Amino acid sequence: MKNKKIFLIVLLCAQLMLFSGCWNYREVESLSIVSGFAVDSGSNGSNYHVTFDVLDAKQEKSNSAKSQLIEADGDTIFDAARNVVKKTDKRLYFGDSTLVVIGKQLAEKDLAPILDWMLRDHELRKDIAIAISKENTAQEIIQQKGLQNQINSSSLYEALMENGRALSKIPYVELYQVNNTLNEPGISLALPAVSVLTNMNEPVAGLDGMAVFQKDKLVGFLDDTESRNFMFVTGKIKGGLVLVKQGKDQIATLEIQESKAEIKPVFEGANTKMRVNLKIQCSLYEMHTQKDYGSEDALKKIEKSAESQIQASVKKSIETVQSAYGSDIFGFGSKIYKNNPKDWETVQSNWEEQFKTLPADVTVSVSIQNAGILQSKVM
Amino acid sequence: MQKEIISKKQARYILVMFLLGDGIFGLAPESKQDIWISLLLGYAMYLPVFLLYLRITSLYPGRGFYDIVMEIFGKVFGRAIVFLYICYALFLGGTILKILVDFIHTASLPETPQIVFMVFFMLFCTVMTKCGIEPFGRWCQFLFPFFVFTLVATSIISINAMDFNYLKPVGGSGLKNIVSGAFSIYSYPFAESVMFLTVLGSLKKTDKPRKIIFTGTLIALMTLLVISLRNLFILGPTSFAASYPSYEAVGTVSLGNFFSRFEILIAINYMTTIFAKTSFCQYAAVTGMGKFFHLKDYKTMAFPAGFIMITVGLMFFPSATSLLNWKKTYSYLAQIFELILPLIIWLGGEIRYILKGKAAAVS
Repeated sequence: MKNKKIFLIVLLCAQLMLFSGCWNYREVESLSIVSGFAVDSGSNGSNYHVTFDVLDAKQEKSNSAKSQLIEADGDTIFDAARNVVKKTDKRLYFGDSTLVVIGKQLAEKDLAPILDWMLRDHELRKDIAIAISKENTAQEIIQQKGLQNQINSSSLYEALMENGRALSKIPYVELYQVNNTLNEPGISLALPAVSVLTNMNEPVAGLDGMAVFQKDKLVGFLDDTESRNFMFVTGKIKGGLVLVKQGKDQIATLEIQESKAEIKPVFEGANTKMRVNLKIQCSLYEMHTQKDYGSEDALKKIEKSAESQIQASVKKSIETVQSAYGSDIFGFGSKIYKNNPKDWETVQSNWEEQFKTLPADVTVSVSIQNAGILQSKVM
Repeated sequence: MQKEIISKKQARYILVMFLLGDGIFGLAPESKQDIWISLLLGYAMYLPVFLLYLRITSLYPGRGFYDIVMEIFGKVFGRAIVFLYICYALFLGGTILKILVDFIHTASLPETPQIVFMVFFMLFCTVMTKCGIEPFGRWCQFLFPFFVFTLVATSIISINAMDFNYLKPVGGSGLKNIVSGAFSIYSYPFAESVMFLTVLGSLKKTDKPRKIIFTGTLIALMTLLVISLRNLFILGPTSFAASYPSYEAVGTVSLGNFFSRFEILIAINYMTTIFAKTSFCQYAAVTGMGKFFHLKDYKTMAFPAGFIMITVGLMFFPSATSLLNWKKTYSYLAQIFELILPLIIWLGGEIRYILKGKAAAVS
């Protein structure tokens, strides 16, 4: 009995040594951690040309981590990822990737095959951010050095994230949301666009409007204002500024505290109309004016002109999208599908055509909460 | 051998953990956003079967399922039915084991051979079965609160990432899909509670199975509802396309950019509930074997049963995709054990009951 017990204890200890952990362990040094990658259409015979932004493990001692670019060709993206091994001795690890930049030409062809591997592979996270390159290739974007972060792709990723809170001009879309949009009826895809901007005469990658899709094919780009208006309509705005022009040389700057959007389809006989109602709460933070706007009446005036200016701008943007691209990025169709499923069945078949001429009523109400910590004007 | 006794609470949590099983991977993808209707409808479909099971147990109070079968049908036919249920338990256990191994293989450790994991997991299940139903009951009662904790925690953390509009349009996936989803939920997992009847012999005389089964299935229903809705609200349509929706959904959630990757909690939950289900299937098979071979101690059969379950898992399902297809067939095939055989047993029992009454009246 006693012998048996000792035998069992030895057996258990042996098990602790032998069977803890995974079947095949990999040291951190033997991995190349990919922080982001750029996908372009291939040049010499292969389908894809992928540039990986890989963290440099050797730089651990210095405070800021650095990254290195590795490019590879492949007929599929996974193929390209594995072909990297031809150049380095390490295998790529995608568990910490945060950003994918997709080239313009590739996005014009189709997006779905690129997303498939990212959704299927267990290593990639499903909340990875996706952006479309406005430049000729996505590689150009990921090549640019980040300003404050040495790692190019994570610098761009952080810009995307922070933009949501402080700028709210460009949508931030995660991988699974792309899949949702592609699979939902009555809504088209809109992704953030990135291009090479300049800072102190040096090129830097930055956000620049957004890309509009028809199904999974890129059809065009919107500029910052149109993109901001898209954010208004879809209710994604979390912050950002509104500039209100009051006649010549007079600009009031409002910071958005909260913005709510309500989209309601209205059916009048055979006609369908969209009613877009925006409620914006903001604060006055900068005044370039000769008049004194300290009084309540004056603030009311600013509210009124802000309302009319936002209304006109949003309406114009909706019409631009309708006439130029005819793709329902605002999700008007999806609103009908979700709230009036029966009406959706009748309009579903030629929704793409109907969207192009769909009238949209935009109403905006702006309320200014405060005027900062200055009572009157300067001078 | 002295009789094992488990308390009311232990029995209830055994049932809950058994029912959750692999259901926490995500249920009935065909119901899409109407999964909650399917769940409720599936439970409603289960209720008549629940009454049937209750009637069977109330004919012979305080007896286990196999005892009742043997009592009603005698040695030969009784053995035949018990044999069928042993096969069912072994097969179900093997399937569940394979489901877990596939999950680990595809989602986290693709390079570990499946058989290695299966053998070790089965070894633990076998040890549990060898310990008997009493420690198992305590284990279930002990671990269920952790399960609830992770469920509530992940739901609360992800509340910011949730979009309740994904519920709309209500009924949009079509009646056919809702009903077929409801049927699969009825047969898998709810009506599998037929296997739970094997444990009733270990209850105290004063504990009513009616209450235990009812509250147990209700707790399981609530948990599954919360899980399905959480996945739907976080992931939207992607959750119907994902193989392991809970895992993906919780994986996208982060707390202030710093705390993230809570999906490991889900993986741990999978392990616990599947361990419970596999162990219980093994227990059901082993006690059946004990009755079938008329053994003094059923526990000696734990090892062979474990090996059979590993073999079943490896032989019948060469790939994870074959398992997904199998689930559709299974929900119909399982009706033999969940509905038809219990019906036969019930009819036999009623006839016996009447005959016994007459015999008592004559004498």
